[in-house]
Amino acid sequence: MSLAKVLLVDDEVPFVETMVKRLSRRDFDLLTAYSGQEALDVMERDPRVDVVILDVKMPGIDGIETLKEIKLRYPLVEVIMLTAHATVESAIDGMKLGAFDYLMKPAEMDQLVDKVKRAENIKRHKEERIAEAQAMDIYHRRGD
Amino acid sequence: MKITGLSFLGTTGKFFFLILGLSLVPVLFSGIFLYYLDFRETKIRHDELARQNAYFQAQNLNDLISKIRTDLHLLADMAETRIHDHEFINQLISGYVSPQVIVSGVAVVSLGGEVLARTGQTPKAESITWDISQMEGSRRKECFAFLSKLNGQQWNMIMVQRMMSDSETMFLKAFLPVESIMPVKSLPGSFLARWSALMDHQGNVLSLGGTWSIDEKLFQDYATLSFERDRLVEAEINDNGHSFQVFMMPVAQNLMILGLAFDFYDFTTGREPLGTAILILAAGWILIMILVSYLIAQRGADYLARREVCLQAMNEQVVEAGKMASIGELASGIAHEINNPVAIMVEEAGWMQDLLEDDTQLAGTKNFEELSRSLRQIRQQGRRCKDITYKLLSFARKSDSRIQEVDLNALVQEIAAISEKRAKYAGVKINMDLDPSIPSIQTSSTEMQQVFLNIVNNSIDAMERKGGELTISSKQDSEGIHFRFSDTGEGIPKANLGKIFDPFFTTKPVGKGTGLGLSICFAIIQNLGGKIIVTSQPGQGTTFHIQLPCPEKKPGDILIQTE
Repeated sequence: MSLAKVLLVDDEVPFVETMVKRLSRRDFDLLTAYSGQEALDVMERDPRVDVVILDVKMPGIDGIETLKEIKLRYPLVEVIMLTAHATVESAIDGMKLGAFDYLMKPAEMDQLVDKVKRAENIKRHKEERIAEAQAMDIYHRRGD
Repeated sequence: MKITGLSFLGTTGKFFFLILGLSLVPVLFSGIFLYYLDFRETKIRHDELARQNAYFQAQNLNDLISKIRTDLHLLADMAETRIHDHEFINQLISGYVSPQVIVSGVAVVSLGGEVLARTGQTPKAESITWDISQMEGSRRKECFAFLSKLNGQQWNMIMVQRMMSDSETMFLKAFLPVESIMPVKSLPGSFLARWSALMDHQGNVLSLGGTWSIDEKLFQDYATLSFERDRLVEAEINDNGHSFQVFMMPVAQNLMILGLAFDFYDFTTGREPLGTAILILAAGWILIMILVSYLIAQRGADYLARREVCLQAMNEQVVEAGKMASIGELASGIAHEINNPVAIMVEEAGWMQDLLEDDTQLAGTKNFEELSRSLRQIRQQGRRCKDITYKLLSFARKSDSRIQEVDLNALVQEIAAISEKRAKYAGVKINMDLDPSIPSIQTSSTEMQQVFLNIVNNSIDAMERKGGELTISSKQDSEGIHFRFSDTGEGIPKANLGKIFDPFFTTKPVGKGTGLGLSICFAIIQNLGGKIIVTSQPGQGTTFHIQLPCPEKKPGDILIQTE
């Protein structure tokens, strides 16, 4: 049983490949995409994605645009921004748009793993709360 | 902004100087021209007078003199017998009078009793006969003879005063006051001449002196002459070219004939011509012009020197800024491009580490240790690359940080508090001398933090070995807000002073500093429209001086202030 289903989005193919190997070794279930558009496509095909690790700087639809789209379509999916821009601003921008956290490239594997786990936890927690709420709803309706 | 301001000043300044310079040229030329005109006029007038006088002298005076010469001899022959023949003497004197002779007087003085006088000018000869002897008793010392009033309208009179008389000598004084003289324009307003003669009773004059004044300016001359009876004595009395001639001839024991002739030509030079005034004026103008040109030159030189300094300072800042900008762009490009491969390398190394950990065969062997160490090193160096590239990116970053109201004093105090611990370890005491009246400015608080922190850290680094004091002061003046960070550290060698703001310039050991801290400060302050200047005295300390522009006052603020 994997810890979480993670979608890794970056236009740097070797980076993605290595990361996939390393994260898989740490019991994550990995999906990959090499552009913003591809990421959205992948998520459409497989809606069970828990956490997206998203590079900010990509050709085509960039990280911020992709983040907006993901949050619009799948509000519960947590996104960790991976940035080469060490500026607080891009992090703030990402967080404002609903990203769970950000990391600077090259990231420490331990930090990344930790953040992915926490993001997955939050997502699962939210899902549970939703499930509970739905159950209560059903329960109350039945009681009517 | 400064450049346009200066050049604007330069243009008007140059224009002003040009106009001033050009306006002086006609002034000078008009001065010279006026002087020339006046000089010419004066010269013409002078020449005219000279001609006139030459005429008088040549014609009348010489005629007169020769006439006197002959007639005096004749008179002398007859004197004894005809001294009382008034008609004869009158006739005789008339002979000397000519309308052309402007000033001349002839008096026949009878030393014994009568003075017969005839002065020049009027064609109609008149004479008054006056007996000195008769008056001697009553007014011995003030015996005047008003010899001629000549129709009451002319000026000439000869006063003969017998000042003293003893058995041997007698002293005579003759006055010739001239109140209004002939209508010769150039003649002075007032003229007074006196001469006196000391003579013995034989009529021999022992000495002769004259004093005359022209426009209250006094001239005098004396001559000692020896007279002999029946011999005409001519004496010219002069002082600085102003002269009159005296003719005398003792003709008998009691009779003497006097003649006076004035040299008008010389009188004219006694007057200051208008030309002199013009000359003084022109000299004044030239002097003023020299002064003005000197001032202009001085001012111009000052201006150029100031501009030179200003331009140099500006050039330095511009060059520095340009260097920053280009390096910044390059740096951000490199940082972006390098970050990705570095990330891959680090991840690959990480992956190898992962694989190594999984490999049970290699575990515990010497190679395993060596490989692990090597991979750790790769990751560590990767992190170092990351540090550098992030600093580069922050240095090159466009100033898009959030702008807010920032209290700089509070900010610098905050930074000092953060650095307190480090300072304590380094033995550095931080002193604050902040001006509480400094206004808040619109800026990025994080950027200013970065600037202050960088400078404070640098100062502490500089004093790390020996400890010292860091003094942070702030003040505000017309040029803006000033922050000063003075440390007592080891100082910066002159050779390095010009390079400290260059990116990657560092004196810290490899791996310790990136050489970007001060470059970032420079870029930030530059973006805020401020200046950052460093002065250092090796061995004594370094001062960083940050100047920031004052916040622009809103109209409302001004209103409140004026109220």
